[in-house]
Amino acid sequence: MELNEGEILGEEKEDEAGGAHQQQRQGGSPSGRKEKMQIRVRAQLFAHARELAGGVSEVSLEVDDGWTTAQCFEDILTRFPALKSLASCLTLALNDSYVDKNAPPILVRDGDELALIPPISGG
Amino acid sequence: MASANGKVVEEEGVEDDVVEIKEKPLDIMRYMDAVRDSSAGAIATFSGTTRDTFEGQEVLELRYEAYETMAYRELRKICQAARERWELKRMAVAHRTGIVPIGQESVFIAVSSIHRQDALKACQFVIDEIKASVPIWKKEIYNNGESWKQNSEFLTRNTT
Repeated sequence: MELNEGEILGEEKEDEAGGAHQQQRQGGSPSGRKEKMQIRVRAQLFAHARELAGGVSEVSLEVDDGWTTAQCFEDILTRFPALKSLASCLTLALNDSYVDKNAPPILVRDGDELALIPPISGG
Repeated sequence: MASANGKVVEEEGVEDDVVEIKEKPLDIMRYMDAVRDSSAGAIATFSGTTRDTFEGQEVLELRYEAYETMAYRELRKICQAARERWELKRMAVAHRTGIVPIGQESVFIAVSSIHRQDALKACQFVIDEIKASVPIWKKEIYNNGESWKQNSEFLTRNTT
């Protein structure tokens, strides 16, 4: 299995003798590039989105620093594929503000709160 | 805030407005009293009440849920926007969450102003804006199913 530059591989592997051992290797590049920092984003799912996610109302995401809200959203969709049926009418909010789909991408920061907002029906 | 002659003038602002999201019956009189003002000639109110039928189907129950932190923020923004458009004294906006029995208030708005046109227009503006932007959801329960409702006002505003 090929490693990308800077990628750490850590997983249980069975050796030929049948036992398991942990392999850890740090890929390095000649330029000594640092691997990306991981940041934490808390995502909340509401109403229909929560139901489609099997009742999960909150997800803690660990993503690369530099990710956008859209990338975080895609990550959530891969974790909860049933959300895909609702995806086209979901709106995102970041730290209690709507994310404008037509505006330039917004980068998430450590500690940010993302929300998946199905079409609202209050009032 | 200082006026032209240097005297400090207290202006009604969004900080004084009552904004509540509660899983309890709405206390209408309390909101009326909160906006009562001796200089106001009018209090305009709006009650959104739950109805028992949707497109011929009998609605047994309604359930509301809110993204509270953001809903509070959006409600205050709406109050601020109303104040920028009309001369208002005080405002109170309350939304109920959880199960709301048929016929009861799910949302209540009260606005006071010196002259009635400001309160009436602001009241309509507030409910229209709530339907377009406040993250609160309603689920209707029928005897053969259930449905998350969608406000056309939100869909219109969010269509690219």
